[in-house]
Amino acid sequence: MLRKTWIALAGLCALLTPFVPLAPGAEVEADIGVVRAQEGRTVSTIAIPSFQPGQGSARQLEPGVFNTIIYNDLEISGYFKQVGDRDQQGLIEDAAARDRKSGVINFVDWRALQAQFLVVAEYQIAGDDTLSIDCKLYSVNEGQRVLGKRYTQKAAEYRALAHWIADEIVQAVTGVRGIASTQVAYVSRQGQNKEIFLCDADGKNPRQATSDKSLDATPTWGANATELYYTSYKDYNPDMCGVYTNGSKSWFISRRSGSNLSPDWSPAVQLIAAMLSKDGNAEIYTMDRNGQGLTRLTTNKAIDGSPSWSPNAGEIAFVSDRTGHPHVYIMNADGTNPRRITFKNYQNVSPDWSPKGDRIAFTSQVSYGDDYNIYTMNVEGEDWKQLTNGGGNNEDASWAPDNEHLVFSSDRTGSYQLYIMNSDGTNVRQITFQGESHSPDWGPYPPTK
Amino acid sequence: MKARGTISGAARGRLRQGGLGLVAGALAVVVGGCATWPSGLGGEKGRSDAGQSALVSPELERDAYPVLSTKDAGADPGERASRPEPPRRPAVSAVPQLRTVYFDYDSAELTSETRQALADAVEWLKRHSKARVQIEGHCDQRGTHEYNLMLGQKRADAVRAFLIEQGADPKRMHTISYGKERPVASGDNETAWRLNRRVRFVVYNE
Repeated sequence: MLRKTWIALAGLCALLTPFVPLAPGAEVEADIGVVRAQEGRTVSTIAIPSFQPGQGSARQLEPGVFNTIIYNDLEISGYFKQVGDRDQQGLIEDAAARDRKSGVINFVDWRALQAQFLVVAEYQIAGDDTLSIDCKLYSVNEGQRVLGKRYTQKAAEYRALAHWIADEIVQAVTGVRGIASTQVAYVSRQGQNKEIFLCDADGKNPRQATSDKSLDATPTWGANATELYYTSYKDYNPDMCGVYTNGSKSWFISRRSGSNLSPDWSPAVQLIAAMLSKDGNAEIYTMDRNGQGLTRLTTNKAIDGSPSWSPNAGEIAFVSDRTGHPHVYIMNADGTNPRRITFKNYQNVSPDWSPKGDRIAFTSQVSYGDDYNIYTMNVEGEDWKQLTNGGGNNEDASWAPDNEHLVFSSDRTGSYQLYIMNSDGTNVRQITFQGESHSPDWGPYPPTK
Repeated sequence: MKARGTISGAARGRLRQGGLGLVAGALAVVVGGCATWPSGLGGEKGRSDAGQSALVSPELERDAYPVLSTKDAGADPGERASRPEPPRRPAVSAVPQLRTVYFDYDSAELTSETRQALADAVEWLKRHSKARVQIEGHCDQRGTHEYNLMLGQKRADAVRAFLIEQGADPKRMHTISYGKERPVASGDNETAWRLNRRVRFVVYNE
């Protein structure tokens, strides 16, 4: 009886909110203003009881499947932490059960548990395996609903749905779009070969994008967030290739003699910048996604490679060893005004321009023989910030589209694996654990649902 | 599917006329394990020339990779003048006269020792005017995968440029960088690193 009351209440709330998901941000119902600040940010506590199966759900999922994913996503965001310790989840479940029994949310209870936010959700799985989740986010201190929405997805993609909810929670509370629904492309060793893989931002759901049975390298996200460009040795030369992220189509982009390496795609001008050695020396060129319209940008006798577009495509950061060791340079997108911007440390490689355009992440070796570490600097090459420190080599950083996270590879466990961290070097998390994974490229936001 | 491990009639004819003994020998080494080498094709002579030090990596014995459309692959006719098209098949045999040469850390400079070794390579290339070689650049395990692919290319290009300067035929020399992806020595020490910072030569089948 009481349970029915609860469901009726939930139904009433659902009626008061749009069933059809809107663009992120559209359904924020109360400007609670708790965690707006991006610098010196406040970390909020959140309680997420297990999502409950609704009456009439065709089947039930393992308890805790959703909140485990969402807790992890929210902690990755850097804006939330699970209230109490992991082993206090029992108290959360008990409080939620009391609420369900009484049919009202007892915010006094939740305040006593020191939760600042509370998620209450119910799911239904229809006969055709469509999964719907009615999810509500409450600000506990104000006793107010912040977000209430129904989310629908195929049940097999429950993980994507959980990421979606996590991103909306981050957006509703902070105003910043979450990155849980984004993906990372990377190189994974498969026996003697290396293939391009994709995983979710939390490292889960790894899937193989190429089956080249060869050496694949340097993946980058391409057009429409549905294409990847990379280098493959599958036809006995390091050629540049394209592949759809779902594996449905692949093609050659550049098969010129010598290396066709390190593509970087600019969505702003729809061009690839890459290193080609067809002229007997490593130079940076731009071309379209079929390798046409080739324009040479560098003319130096040294290595010029590893290009990274600025967000507005006005400039390109790159690596050159024209002074004897590799350092980071910037040139205009037409190749004019090349200038060195790193004057410290022995080697500085692998630049990646931030989505906001104000900083560049790179990999640096302080002195000969030292381990490599991840740094960021401004575009004048100043204001260096060291983000990783020791424990092995930390390499190849790539920005997330929120400008607040980076993915990189490290051999600190003895084999190269992927790690993510906040852009100030905090909140470091290993996200891959099997075999060998490296050369990550963090993908763009998916299209809004 | 590429024809590999088979010999066309025309190729047999050339082999009978001699002059390709070494290359034929190299081929014999490759096909020897899986096919019968036809007698009287100059194979024996080739074997002695080649010195029997062929390094055949198991991975090179695989079936051909899927060959995709190349029509969008962007190679302007004008570009081919500067460098020959890569042969797009495995280079399978090492030759003693084409010695592996070594490099300092983060360097593609050719030492005097290296230049001497490469002088021998030039002589060999001149004597074997049909042989096509792959010049492979390799690096040690330190640094990013990407930068090492660039550095390996620079080493291979430096060797190729020197050989051309010494009179070798550019059209028969192809470069490939494996960065730090194909180490010959394992270990986190200078001994292993030194062995891995190398350019090696591999000969293609004719």
